[in-house]
Amino acid sequence: MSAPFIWILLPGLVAFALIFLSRYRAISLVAAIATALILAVLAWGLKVGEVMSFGPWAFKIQEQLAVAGRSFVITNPDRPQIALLYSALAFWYIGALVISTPPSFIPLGLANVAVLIAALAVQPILYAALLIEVAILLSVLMLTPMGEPVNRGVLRFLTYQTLGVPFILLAGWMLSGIEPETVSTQDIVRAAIFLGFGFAFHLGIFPLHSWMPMLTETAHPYVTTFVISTLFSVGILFPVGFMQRYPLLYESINLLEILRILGIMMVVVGGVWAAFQRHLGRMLGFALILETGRTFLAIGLPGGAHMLLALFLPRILALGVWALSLSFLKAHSEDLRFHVVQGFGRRYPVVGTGLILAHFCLVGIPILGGFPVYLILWEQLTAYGSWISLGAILGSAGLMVGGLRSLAVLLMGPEELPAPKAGRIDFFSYALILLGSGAIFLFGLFPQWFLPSLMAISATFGRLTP
Amino acid sequence: MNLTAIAPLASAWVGVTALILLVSRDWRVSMSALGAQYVGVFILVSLAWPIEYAVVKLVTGWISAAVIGMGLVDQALAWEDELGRWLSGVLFRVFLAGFIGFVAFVLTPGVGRWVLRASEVQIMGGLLLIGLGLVHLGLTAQPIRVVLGLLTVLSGFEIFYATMETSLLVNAMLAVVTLGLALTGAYFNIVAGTERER
Repeated sequence: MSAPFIWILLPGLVAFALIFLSRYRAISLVAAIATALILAVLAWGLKVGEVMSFGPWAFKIQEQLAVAGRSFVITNPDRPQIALLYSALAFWYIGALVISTPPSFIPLGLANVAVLIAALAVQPILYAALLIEVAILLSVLMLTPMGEPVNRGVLRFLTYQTLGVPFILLAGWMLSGIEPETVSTQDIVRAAIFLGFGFAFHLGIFPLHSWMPMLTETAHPYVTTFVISTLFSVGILFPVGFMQRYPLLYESINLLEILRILGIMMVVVGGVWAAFQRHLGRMLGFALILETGRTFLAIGLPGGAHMLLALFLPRILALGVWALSLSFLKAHSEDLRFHVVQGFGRRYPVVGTGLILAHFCLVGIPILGGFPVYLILWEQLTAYGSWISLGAILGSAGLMVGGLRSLAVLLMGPEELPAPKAGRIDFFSYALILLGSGAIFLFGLFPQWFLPSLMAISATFGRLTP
Repeated sequence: MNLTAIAPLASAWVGVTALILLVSRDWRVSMSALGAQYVGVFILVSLAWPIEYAVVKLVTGWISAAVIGMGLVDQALAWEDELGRWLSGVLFRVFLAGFIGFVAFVLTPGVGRWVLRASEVQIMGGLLLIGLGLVHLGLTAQPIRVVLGLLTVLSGFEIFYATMETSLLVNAMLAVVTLGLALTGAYFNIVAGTERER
């Protein structure tokens, strides 16, 4: 048995089986959660390429799976990423227990993660772009449930992601012919330009970011946030891996500075635009842009890739609670425009609290989960000039203004609210939002419990240590 | 079979079919143009590949056109006329197509210095398809037309790419992406239909 079989083919087969269970949502959801958790635990525990004994049995998990002359390779340093991706998937599925999601979300979510892991594992890297495109097409199906109009956000998403594929393919073609030891600066710069354009489309880098707020405005908030955060978690590993493989980039084009400039542009754009939004969904979209920028800032610091996992945990917690709360609000109102949801925080105080807490967590307010990590990031950025620190703080300030406006909208409004669109929110839903909110506080109040181990795990990531 | 002699015609042919896709009001005409477009793509790709491999592009393209077309047979209302009653919409698109043709003509020698193994007709055909596909994407908000635009852009790219990358697996996966896009287009038709029924 090989590692790619366990973490790519097996979940793919389970996802296929889950399609036939779509009518029985509870069963398929529980099966999907169990699968994701088992795969995450296996990724933490199973050692690849080493003989492991289990009672009287001894076995060895192979690193490689050959398909049509090409190979998928998963090594031990890749396991933390895989564990992380499947843990995150289980996290998103647990949230789906209490909200209504399209039936396709359950099987296609699992298939999506499996395909993205295949994109990480495939060699040569050339094939990754095509596998990412397959994941995009699966995501489009998730984002367009039956009986609802195809929204423009999904079309923009599909267009931008597909336009990025040729660039990545060309970069992969250029890289496939060169070896790190003999590569010239001209070759590497040319490939980097193509790769840069490809990932600019793929990750929504400014000014190609417009699909993100459009998607969060029009599509299901929970599914959208899952899709964007999962694609982003995997997508960011490619440029980092590229940097690791070709260290000449640091010397020839000062890539780290380019990443910092890109990052700060996205932080400022995301934050400042968030301050002026009048739609809770679009607000989430701009927060996602800001988070993308923060990640670029982190990997733009020497050794900053070690912070990726530390950034990942508060981000996924906050995004999960935010998306869950938004999904409830969307289910109970016509849409998420400010004038429509006025006063909804009074009717659904737990949902409103969860939304605002998650929002402020991503701002970096003290005692919430984002603060300890962002503080480290801001401190390290000061070494590169005051303008970059000011930009990072401006972005957070913009997002905070957006959060205060959301708070005002949720609390104010007419005494008599219109009749709710759906029934009451049950206890379990409230409990899940409270649990998520509690975790946000816990991470913020006791970062010493989490941060050192998260940084240590990041340091073991095979593709994350430029 | 040597198709070099008709390659210049194929280059013009893909431009004409992409223009028809851009200005067509009838979905049947559009699907026929899409199918015909892949004939030109096949001829241009066959200059770099053996015929038996290049024919994969043709078959994939035809299946894609058939898949989208079959989706539209029952859901013809999913196809909306975006051009309006007057001729101005068509004229504007024809003017844009002419502009793209001019840009492609001007850019061909320059691109030739980058894509060394591609002939001028391949570059011209590829640039026309990419340009007209991008125009299509820029002018439409209709799901099926977005898919047609993406297929057109990808076809143009595949002409270039065939001259660089000869790996069968990569090209098989590109065929999967083309079919995936077509299936997504067909899915959009069905979704639009169920939404109207609701």
